[in-house]
Amino acid sequence: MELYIFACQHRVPDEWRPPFSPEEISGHRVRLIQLPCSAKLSTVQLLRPFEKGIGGIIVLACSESGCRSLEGSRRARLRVLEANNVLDELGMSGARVLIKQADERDKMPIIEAVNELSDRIEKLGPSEEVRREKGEGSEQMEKPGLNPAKGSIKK
Amino acid sequence: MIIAERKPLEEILSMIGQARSVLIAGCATCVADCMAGGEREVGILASALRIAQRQRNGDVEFVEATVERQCEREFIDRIRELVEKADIVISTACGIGVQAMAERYGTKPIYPGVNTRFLGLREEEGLWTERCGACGDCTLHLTGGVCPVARCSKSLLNGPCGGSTKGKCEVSDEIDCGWQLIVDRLKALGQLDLLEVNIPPKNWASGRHGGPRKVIKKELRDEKRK
Repeated sequence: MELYIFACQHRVPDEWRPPFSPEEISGHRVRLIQLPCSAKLSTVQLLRPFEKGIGGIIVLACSESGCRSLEGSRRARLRVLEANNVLDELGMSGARVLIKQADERDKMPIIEAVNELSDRIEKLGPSEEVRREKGEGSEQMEKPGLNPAKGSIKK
Repeated sequence: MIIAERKPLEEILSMIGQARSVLIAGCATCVADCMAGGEREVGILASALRIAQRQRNGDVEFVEATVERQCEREFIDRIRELVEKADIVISTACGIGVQAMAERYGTKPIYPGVNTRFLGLREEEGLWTERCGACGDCTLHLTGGVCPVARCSKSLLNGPCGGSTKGKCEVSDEIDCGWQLIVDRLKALGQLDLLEVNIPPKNWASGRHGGPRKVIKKELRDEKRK
């Protein structure tokens, strides 16, 4: 599964700063995009990766009271809500864009977020339309997937 | 400004039909302010439609363009090349913009991407409310600047009706009584005596019951140029 991580620079762990960027977390391909503030993220940026068929997106923002741009984290939360509403309308329900707001820059919460989102997407499966076209039933989608080992990071 | 809302994606997808190339044309004025059809919303709609195409294994090309105002011909002329290349155009402008495009590009299907709702203003973040009914016979000078046509649920010209409770309309607890707003405003202005004025039945000849309306300013029309 391919996941995108959009992260406020204040949420990125020191060891994940350029030129290093994790390519794989818990067996999932990840693309980490660092932003000066989560407010830089627009709704359309949250949707475009789904055009390529990615599994989901994690947005790492500061807490709303701790955002250095004052409004940034709140705006990011609303844009995540808007993107999830559009995806819901497309039959890709279940909040495939996950926002995590906190004032920390540790690795572990990010790994946990990747695991949480990948588990959620595996349960949801592809969108209703794709399932219908493939003739898949809901029982098939609920079968446990091949969960990659959790917690591993690959450069 | 004109307030609109994006149509459901399913409805927009049903308009696309067999088209292979779709231009999504936005308008950067009213519908951008009410976040229904400006450049930002054109991007979101195009992306949503591309995702839908991927789900359906389609190969429709979606092109995005936003003009300053779709209700002015000189602006919509600027996207002529894109309109001509597309099989159909989904316009996210208000109904005026859609029709302006349809008139300008006579043989091109121009479909609406939004539902045009009303004339209103942004009250707070994410909330727009109606302010003007475009009735063509304004009485705001008699009603403290609060429109009884647009803001009274019954459009009463001489109110209140007696159906309001604690400033709320009997139609819904969420609707302010238009005439309560008028009384409050007249009180603040020291013009409560205006409530004594009996507003005569409205001259609906200026309303839309006589067919499409027009405004003519003779001083701006150069008849010699016709």
